Formats: sequence, structure tokens, C-alpha cells
Amino acid sequence: MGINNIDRICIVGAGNMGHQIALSTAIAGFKVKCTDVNEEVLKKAEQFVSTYLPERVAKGKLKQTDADTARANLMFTSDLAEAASDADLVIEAAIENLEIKRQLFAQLDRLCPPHTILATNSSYIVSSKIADVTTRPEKVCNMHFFNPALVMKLVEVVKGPHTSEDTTGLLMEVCVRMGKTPVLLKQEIYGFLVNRMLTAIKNESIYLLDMGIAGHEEIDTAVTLALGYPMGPFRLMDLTGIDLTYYVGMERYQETGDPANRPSPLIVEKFIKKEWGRKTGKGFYDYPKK
Amino acid sequence: MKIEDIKTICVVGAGNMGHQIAVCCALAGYQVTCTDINLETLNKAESFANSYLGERVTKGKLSPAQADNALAKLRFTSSLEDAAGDADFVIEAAVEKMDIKRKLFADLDRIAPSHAILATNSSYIVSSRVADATNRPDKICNMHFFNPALVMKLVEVVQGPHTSTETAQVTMDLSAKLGKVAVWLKKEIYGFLVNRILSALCKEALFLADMGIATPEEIDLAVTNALGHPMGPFRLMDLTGIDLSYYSAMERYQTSGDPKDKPSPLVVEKFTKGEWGKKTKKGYYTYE
Repeated sequence: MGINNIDRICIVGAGNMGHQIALSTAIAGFKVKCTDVNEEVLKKAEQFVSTYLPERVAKGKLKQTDADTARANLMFTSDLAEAASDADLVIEAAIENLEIKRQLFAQLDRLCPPHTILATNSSYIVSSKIADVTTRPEKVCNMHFFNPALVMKLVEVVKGPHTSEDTTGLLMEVCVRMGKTPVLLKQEIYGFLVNRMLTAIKNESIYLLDMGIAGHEEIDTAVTLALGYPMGPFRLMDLTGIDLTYYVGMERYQETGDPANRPSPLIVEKFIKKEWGRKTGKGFYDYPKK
Repeated sequence: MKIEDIKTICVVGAGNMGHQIAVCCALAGYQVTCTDINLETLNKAESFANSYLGERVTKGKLSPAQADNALAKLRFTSSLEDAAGDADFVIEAAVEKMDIKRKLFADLDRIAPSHAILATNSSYIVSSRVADATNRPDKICNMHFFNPALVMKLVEVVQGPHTSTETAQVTMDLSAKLGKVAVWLKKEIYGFLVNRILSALCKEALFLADMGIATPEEIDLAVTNALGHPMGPFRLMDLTGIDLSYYSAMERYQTSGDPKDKPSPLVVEKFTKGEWGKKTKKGYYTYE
């Protein structure tokens, strides 16, 4: 199968990531069906599209005809069978729960034509944990977009031991057609590239704070001023949620049994105090309600 | 001592870092004497000061009077006695060798007035390793500038167990007077903040490359694209020199004995092949 055989894309999940991936693929000229079990999420996604496209046209970023084509190429449905049964490529962007993903991939394997590639947007569930529920493991792969998917250029395409090179090659080409910058991971590894490197920075920063070497603000200042990072690690954790840092650390620790993976004392403290960052009004920094 | 008591600064070493730190201090209105044992280095530093200040005037960043003022306050001498004899604050930016720094701090302790703070710009030798060569350990600390010192805003002030809070505070205040943003490290730690965080990133990046997960180019792309860093870790190592990555990992390993500190296979390979980065025209990338 070549890139020209990929015409119809199904996006499973219309949430945070799914609706933006759907819109990105539609703008790139693919015929896209986006599906979700939750009608409300689906409706919100559709509303987003009807405001986003005119805005882009108004800003001169998109031609009216291209916006019209994108809108015509994109449909939303709560029926998985309708969305997936004629797809050449499925990008699954459902909730990050292994059991749900395994059920979904088994269903997709039944619904889709034999040639269909089944990709997951999961940021940390490697596709080998899912591939065995399908009859087409060579067509199962990770295709990890970043949030917000309409803006962020990077896509991590992760080849599992079961994934064929044809599959990764095609996904790389789909990314390029979408105007993305794909990188190919030749082996599966927890956290892929970006989250691993980000975690390395976070862990070292938390260690420096735990050891009482410097305050969170000073560490953020050091990183932004001397290394030119757009944001320090503590400001970033406040944005992504300290609860998430806690859960990921705990999950990792339970999986590996390595004490080095345990969340740091400070993260545990913040988690228990419900100082989870921006969303709770307080994390490492204070966010006064306006 | 208070920040107001500091009028005269001595910068020891007119090399890569020293000459720019000296110009910074002069621009901030301090009486500065910059010294180096190497006359050629000293001459180069002096002509840099002249041409740099001139350029800043041409670019409209400085008034001619400001440039003249800075130049008038800046003096170069090869005599350490002459340079440090009346200093209220000494910034040592000599070569990164322990025995040289210890000798220098013993000399400075003898030469400089007893109230003077003696700070080292060292990026990895913590001041507790030189403080005992002096009779004023409470007045010894790290004051770490970044390269190029005239441009980079950050200064790491590191308080050792021997350093008085007053010394650290005055060093923080002086950094602010120089127009810098200083961070105060309350304890000594190898690599301070920035180099520790950077090396955590580089280590993970090298691990990913060593494991054959992705290429250095792809890893750099991931970092610049998704995290918005101005440069990926491999591009940066090419700039700072892969030989340096090799030497500092070897030194670290010899000190700690921890196999985790050994240089990565990829770094060893590049080092052995003489592919040290931009300066050898080939590192992780190729340079024309």
C-alpha cells in the first residue's frame, strides 16, 4: 500500500487530542470521520470546527475554499462502525486506559478492511500491548501527536517489534502530508523521546528542590535564562498538573519496582494537599482567581 | 559588608570569561582591574574592550559618554598585587585547575584587603575546595557567570558551608548591580543548577541514541519542536565539544566510581575518532 491509497481516515475519540487531529487531517485533504462514545464531546468538537475554520480564514491563515473543503471532508458520528468500516487509517485517541484500548482495537480489527492501519495516539501505552488483540499486528503502531495537535509540528511514530516498515513508512508520509515533522522511533521505549527527556529535566529539577539547593522559582529562572527553554520545569508541571506527575510516578514505580521511579517527597506533599497546579489555583506557584 | 561598600573589583583571568566579566563590571560603574599572567591574553582583552564598547555606541546601545566612562574605569595589568591590592571584591576566572585555583586563592588572601570577598567563577569546582587555602572562608563563594558573560543574564551564586550569608547576599546584590539575574544556591552541589539539568537532558538523549531508538538528528528535532528548546542536546554538544563531554564524564566517573557516570558509548566513539563537534568540522553533525 502506498500513501496514495490512504484517503479515508478515522479518528476515534473527539476529546482534547482527537478533535484537533481530526481537523488537522481534514485540512490536509483527507476524508475524515471522527467518532466518540460521548455525544456531548462530539458536539463540542463539531462546534470547535465551526469556529476554528472561520477564524483561520479571518486571520488570513486559510483560504475560504480550503476551509470549505476541510469542513466538507470532516464528519462526526457516534457510530464506530460507520466511522471505521471504510477507513484506510485509524488514529485512536481515546482515553489512556489499556483495557479500553484493547477492546477498541479488537473491535476496530473486526470493523476495518484488512488493509487498514490501526495507529494509537497514546503517549505511553506502546502498541505491542495492544497489537495482539488484532489479526494484523504488522499494521499496528504508535502515532503520537502533541497538544495542541493543530499547532504542534512533532509526531512520534513508534515501531514495535510487530510493526512492519511499510506501516511506519506510510505513517511518516501521512505526517508529512499533514505538514508535521515526524520522527521514527525504531524500538518501543516507555515515554518515547520527548516525555523521556522532559522527565529527565523534571526529575533533576525536583531533586535539586528536594535537596534544598534552590527554590522552584530559582530553578525555573536558571533554566529559562541560561538554556533558553520557553518555560521552567515547575511552571510546566503546574500547567500539566502535579496530580499527573504523581500518578505517572506511582504507576511507573508499580510497574518497575524501582524506588528511583517513586514520586519525590515534594510531589507527594503537593498531591495530598491538592495543590495540583494552575487548575486548583495553587501548585508550585499561586494562581489567584481573577 | 554591604553592597554600597563595594567600589573596586578585581577580575583574575582575562580569557574567555574574565574579559567579558570585567567589561560588565566597568559598565556597571565599578573601578575594575583585570589581570592575567599571559600578556597576549591581556592585550587581546584590552583591544576587545575598546572595539566592543565602540560597537555598542555605533549600534546606539550605549552613549559615547557611557562607553568612555566604562573604558576609564577599566584597567589591565599582569601584576596580581597591583590588581587585587585595593579590591573590595575579587572574581576569579582563571583556568579550571584545582591546584592553580588553590594557589591563586592563597595569594589573593595575602594580597587583597581583609574585607574583600573572593569569589570564583568556576562552573564545577565548588568553593569549599579552595576556601581552606585562605584565612577568610566566610568570604569565599562561587559566582558563576554564563558564556558570553556580556549577554547571558544568569549568575549562579553558590553558598558553601563556610560561606557567610552576608557574603552570599552581597554577591547576589552585586549581580543585580551588574544587570544580572542571580539565583542563590543554598548548598554546594556538583554542576550547580544549569549544568546539572542540562546534563540530565544530555544523558537521556545519549541513552536514546545508544539504544538505537532514534538518531541524534531526530532526538534534536523532538526537543526543539515539542519542547521549544532553542537547540537540541546533540547540536549543543557539538558546539561545546564532544571532547569536553568525554573528559567531564571520565572525571566524574573517576571521582564517583559509579559506572552510571561513565561516558556513553557514542561519546567514546566520537572522542576516539576525533569527531569532537564543530571545531573539528564533524561531530554528530557535519560542518562545512
